[in-house]
Amino acid sequence: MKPDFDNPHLFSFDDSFASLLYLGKINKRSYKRAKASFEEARAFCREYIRPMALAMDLKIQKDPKALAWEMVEIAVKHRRLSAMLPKFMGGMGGSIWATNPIMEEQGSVDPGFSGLMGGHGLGLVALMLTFNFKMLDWVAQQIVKNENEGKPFLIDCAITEPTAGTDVEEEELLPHARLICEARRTNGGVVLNGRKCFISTGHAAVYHVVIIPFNRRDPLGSFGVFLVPGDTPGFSLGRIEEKMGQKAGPASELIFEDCFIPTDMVLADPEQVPAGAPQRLLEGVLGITRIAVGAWATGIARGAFEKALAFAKTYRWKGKTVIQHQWAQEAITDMLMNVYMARSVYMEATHALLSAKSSGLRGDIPWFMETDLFAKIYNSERMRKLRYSPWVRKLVIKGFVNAPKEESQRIQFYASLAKVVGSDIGMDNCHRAIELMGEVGVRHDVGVEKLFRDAKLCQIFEGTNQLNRLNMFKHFLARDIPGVEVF
Amino acid sequence: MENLNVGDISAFQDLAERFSKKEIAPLALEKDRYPFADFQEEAVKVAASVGLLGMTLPEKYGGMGQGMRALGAVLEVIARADASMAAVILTQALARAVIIELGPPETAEKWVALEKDGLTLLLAFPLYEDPENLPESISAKRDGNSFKLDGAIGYLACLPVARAAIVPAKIADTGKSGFFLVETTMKGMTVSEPVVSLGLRGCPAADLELKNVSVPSSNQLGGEDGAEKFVEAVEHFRGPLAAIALGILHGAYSASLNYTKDRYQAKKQIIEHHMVRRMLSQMVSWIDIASPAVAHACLTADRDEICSASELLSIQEIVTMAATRATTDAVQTLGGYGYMHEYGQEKRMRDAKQLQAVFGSSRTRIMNVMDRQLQTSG
Repeated sequence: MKPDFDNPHLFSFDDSFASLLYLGKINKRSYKRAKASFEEARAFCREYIRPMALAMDLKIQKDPKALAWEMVEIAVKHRRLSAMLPKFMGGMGGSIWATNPIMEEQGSVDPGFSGLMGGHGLGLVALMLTFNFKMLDWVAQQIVKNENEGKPFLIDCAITEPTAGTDVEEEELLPHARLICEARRTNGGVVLNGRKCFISTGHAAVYHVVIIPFNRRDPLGSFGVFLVPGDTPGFSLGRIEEKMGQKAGPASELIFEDCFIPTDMVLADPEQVPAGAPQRLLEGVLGITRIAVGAWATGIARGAFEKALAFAKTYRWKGKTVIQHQWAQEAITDMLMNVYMARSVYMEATHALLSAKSSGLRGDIPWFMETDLFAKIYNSERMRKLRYSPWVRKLVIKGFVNAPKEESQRIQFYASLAKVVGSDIGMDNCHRAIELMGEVGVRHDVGVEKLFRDAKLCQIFEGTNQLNRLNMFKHFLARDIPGVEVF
Repeated sequence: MENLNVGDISAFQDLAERFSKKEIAPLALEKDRYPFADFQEEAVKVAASVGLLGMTLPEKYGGMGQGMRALGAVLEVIARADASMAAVILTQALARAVIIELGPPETAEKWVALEKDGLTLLLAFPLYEDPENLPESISAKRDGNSFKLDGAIGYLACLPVARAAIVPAKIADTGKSGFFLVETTMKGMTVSEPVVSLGLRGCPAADLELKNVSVPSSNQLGGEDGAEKFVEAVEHFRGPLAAIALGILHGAYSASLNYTKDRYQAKKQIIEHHMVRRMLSQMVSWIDIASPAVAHACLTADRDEICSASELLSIQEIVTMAATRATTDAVQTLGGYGYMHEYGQEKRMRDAKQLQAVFGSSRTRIMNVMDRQLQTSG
């Protein structure tokens, strides 16, 4: 039972991303960059992650407290931690276009690895959207410096609390959230108290991007964002959850007991950012990460399809290879259709995000930012002073907060759509694969039962699919139904 | 409508309830880590001693002589706490039924008793194979008063803890299918390490390899017409199998109900959110439909009054399918906690999916429904 990786017709770049093929006609450079980043990530996933995926899963089943360090090591060695950082920040400068297709590649070989990298990515996105350039530069430097030395520098992002999951994902719900974390101002910094749970990548991270309000009864008006080093007194890692799947990506408990954070580690202080910034930060983060989850779950749908196809080509039923039966051809083709549907949606969402004015990208990083000259200018003392100045930061945040409403509504809608469609289809394809494969499908060594366990998480995190449906209703339909209540 | 919960079997249900509460529920999550935890040997011993393991065995073999209806009722109750234990009981009842139906009396005398040398005697069975389309990966060659068996068969239920296994084999001279009882200690037998499985981990499976294994003729089950008798014997157990799915459904529903009543989201009890309530409604509807269907399947098997060639197949397929979808939703109703081992809901989702693969894949079962219709209507 072998996957069809040598088959040039199965999920080639051009076959998979017709929209980028179109882009290539009008912008050769972006197309080439996207394809190169994608092919590199695909080769990495197939050559290094795929062969260790089952062993990592088993290792953590055996010892639920274990971490997938072997995977982190190989990711560092192949510079996957800085892959998406732009070149002027010392990163590999991967194509932003290709970010979500790469999520799909990772998801197709090991959704747990996606989780490990996804927690890190979520931390970076949250950090970027605080527009605290000083700390952003510093974290980027640490990632690159450590990677050069062969050491991992992973971060994470902590929002969820033990008594508030869905409620912290949505601005309408936040006022009702039963929060237990709170920040308090003190001489020279802040003191954090409380507990966060289900934090992706927590136990593997060395720094934690933490979102905690100064007043837990008014979270929206008082949210602060803090960068907490793992060795801060008063900070500790609690339990690692024993999850059903996605075992390579730990879900951790973060504990704050009078944890003091100096002022320069406060990434965003509610008193210093314009009103509305916390909501936009939350929306901005979810607008990016939900699309990524959609792509990652599309990868799961594809992984299940690939296993089912390999099964049907290997095993026999009533004297013929399974694939020779029309009912099996139907079953396999339905799964293929699912993959294409999910992919179309997350790529449309990617396009909605990247074409937004507030992304400042107009599709991808402008070409001149790739040049050495730009890197030199960006890292010059004068430029540094300029972007670290409070008024530049205020200007940037203002631009972000005041982005056109219809644009942010569109992104919110598409992000939820990609997340729900991708994860529902991911789960569905796993059900279908096992229904086709029977006893072969439920054995660990074949790998499809792992995908079945992995898939379920994508319907739950980044807002349950139920919450995301309401979010779509709110951003797409409710605006034209006066007086309708949402949430 | 038919119902499993009627008078004369309520005593068995009470027994199963007490057994579940005392012996299974406290350990179900820990034992679910198998093979990284021990097999639930103690609980199986207790099941044997209180009569649950031998419910369907005729009294002359030390059993209670009950039929599918009592078995179904008991398995449904036990599966609410742990479907793995229900699967162990089903596998043992099934293996013994096949030996009694197909085997020579002396083999039955020797192997169907629940104890041997003071230990619970567990048998391995090809539980995940489609009985109508068994693998022909083992060949049997007559050699005087015995057979020589060669080949391999994957994924036999209970094999890691069994003393003997029932395996299908193709008889070399005639090309017909037969069945053999092989002891795990026979020369030439290799039992693999336990296979890590999606669900029903407390009912472990392993692969078996046979190299020139000499098996006495008395261990041949069903002679040359074994295949047909085998299908008939297995057919009766589709009802109790669906009863396990129904038990999982019940367990998932009550866990979801308790959680969504206890917890609040957006200032409301979670159950007051209509999307969650819709999922619970669906679970209730499935339980409402599955309960009489399962009872019907068990009763018709006992009365030997099967009205359509495909009905037990259909009931198995639809009820197990419903359990896979309901448990997937049931995890969702608990949010992040549903995905965590300690809440038990993710185990139900895995167990339900594993159960769906019993007696062949769901897809082939669906094809078999129409095949049977065409065969009987001509």
